[in-house]
Amino acid sequence: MKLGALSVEGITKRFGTTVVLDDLSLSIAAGGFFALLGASGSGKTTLLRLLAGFESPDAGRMLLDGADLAGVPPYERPVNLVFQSYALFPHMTVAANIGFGLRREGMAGEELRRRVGEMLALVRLDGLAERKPREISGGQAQRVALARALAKRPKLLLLDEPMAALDRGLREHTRGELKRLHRELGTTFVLVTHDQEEALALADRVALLDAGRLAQAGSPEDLYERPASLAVARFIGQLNLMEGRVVGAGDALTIEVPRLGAVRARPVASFPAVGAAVAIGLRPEKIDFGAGDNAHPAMVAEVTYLGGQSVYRLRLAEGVEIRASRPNRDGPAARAGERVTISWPSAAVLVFPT
Amino acid sequence: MSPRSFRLVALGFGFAFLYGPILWIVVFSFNEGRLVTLWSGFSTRWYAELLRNRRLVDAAGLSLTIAAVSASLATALGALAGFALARLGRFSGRGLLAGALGAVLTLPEVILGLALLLAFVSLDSWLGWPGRGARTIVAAHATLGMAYVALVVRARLADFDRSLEEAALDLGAAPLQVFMTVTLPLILPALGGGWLIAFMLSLDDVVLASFVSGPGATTLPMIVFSSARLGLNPQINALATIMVGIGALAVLAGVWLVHRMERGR
Repeated sequence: MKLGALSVEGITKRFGTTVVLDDLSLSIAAGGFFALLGASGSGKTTLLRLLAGFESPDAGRMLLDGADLAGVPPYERPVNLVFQSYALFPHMTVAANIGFGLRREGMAGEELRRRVGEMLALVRLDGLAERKPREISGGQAQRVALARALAKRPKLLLLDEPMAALDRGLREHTRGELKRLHRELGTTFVLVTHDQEEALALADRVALLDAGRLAQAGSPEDLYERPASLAVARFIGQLNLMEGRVVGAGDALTIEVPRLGAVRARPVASFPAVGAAVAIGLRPEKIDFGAGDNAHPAMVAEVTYLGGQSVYRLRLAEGVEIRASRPNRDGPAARAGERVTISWPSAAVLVFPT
Repeated sequence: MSPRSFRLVALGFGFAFLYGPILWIVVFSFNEGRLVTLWSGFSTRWYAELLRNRRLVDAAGLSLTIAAVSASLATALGALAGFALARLGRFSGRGLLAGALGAVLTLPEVILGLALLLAFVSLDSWLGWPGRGARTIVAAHATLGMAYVALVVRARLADFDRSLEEAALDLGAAPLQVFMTVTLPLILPALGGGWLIAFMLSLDDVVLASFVSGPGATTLPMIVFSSARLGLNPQINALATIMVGIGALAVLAGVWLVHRMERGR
């Protein structure tokens, strides 16, 4: 049986009069890779600090494999944290940093050396054991921090914006490394990030926090394709937004958008009544060049060439512009100034009450 | 005059102003003759005479002992005060503690000496303790030194990365272990630097010592000061040279500690 199932039940945390986490509940499966996504100030780092034990909640419970974490000090929790700044001890070697937690457990001598060696090999840093933190690069420091946190074989590994300090190329590489470590160790990983791409790429489940509340939790695909609210849809990915009014409901929803006309959408669960004001969202990559459902003539106002894909700014009517993106399989689909017909499937239209 | 040569001249004047008098003393401590203004040949006789002068040697021993003891006291108390100011947040009396330490730093030494003397005298008349002598000099110097140590420790803790301590907690170190394995090693250079400052303050203090000392407890600077009033003496030059040497060593040690502290970050 895998260990590291976490259940967060009705956690509330206040700092003074500010409510940072508001009756938040989450459940994280054992062995999962869970991402806590949110803008700064959404409470995601506070939740991480609560899990690590640096803060205690004002209300609610946190259960790790059924055991209540309340009152358990950080040094007795089977939880380890990779700090955003890495927080490597500057006066100790890489090996002493990695062995720090093991020595606290009383491990010493040959066993300690062997375990530290294993951890160095795990993060592919063999040969750097005797360096000091100031003598290694940022990417290496990050891997030392990972090895140090994993050395005690925690049930739960917390990662606080682990890639914020790395440059772009290294970030891609580190993502791969994190996925590999997660696969090899089977530990539950909880990642805190404000980078949606990172969350979608790494996690099997993502929770989006908004002002201390849970906006939505689900698979990356759930959050992107089936956002629960306009806020979720806007936070994750690109979105074309239009406002309109429901004029027909039946097998399909018909929404009248001023100056554009009727837009057909798939019926949604919270079915808006005829006459209700709604916002509709459309992802740029769902737009096709050519005829089909929801076809509209458009003028290409601008083309931005990005190598693998191009982004098009399309004018549908006076004051109605949307962005479309297409992969450049056979070169750009249209040139600036060209008149084209675009369309999008009604299933791609996201409808939110306003 | 070109800017470059102007800078050199300015530098030369600066150095001459700062170190000229000291260099004068060092050179004339090796003078053969008794006159301190007329060079009559190289000799180390004044150093030999200095070592035979029981009064001076005893005073030097007393001064070094007082400096070491008061610096250690100052470091312990100052570290506690620095910790309280940097870490305890807003506790009642925080402003008073910060103000009191600041007052020790800014008050004229004459006022501080007088205040300490009054305190010791009234304490003595109530309790019959501590009298006046080496003990009271140590207390006075520790008071002055701890204000400096508190300043250094507080500054070091202010830019201390708290996540290092949290990381140690997270990895299974109980609070006392965190202090011993992470906090203390990282602020050790600051404590060492503070100790050196307190040591040097004590070693060259005349004012406080003159106020609170009693019969039988005469420190080296007190002797130097009183003998200078009676007339210049080549032995004092030799003594001064030795003290300059000790001071220079302390400064070098301090620079080394600061350098280590920088590298540790």
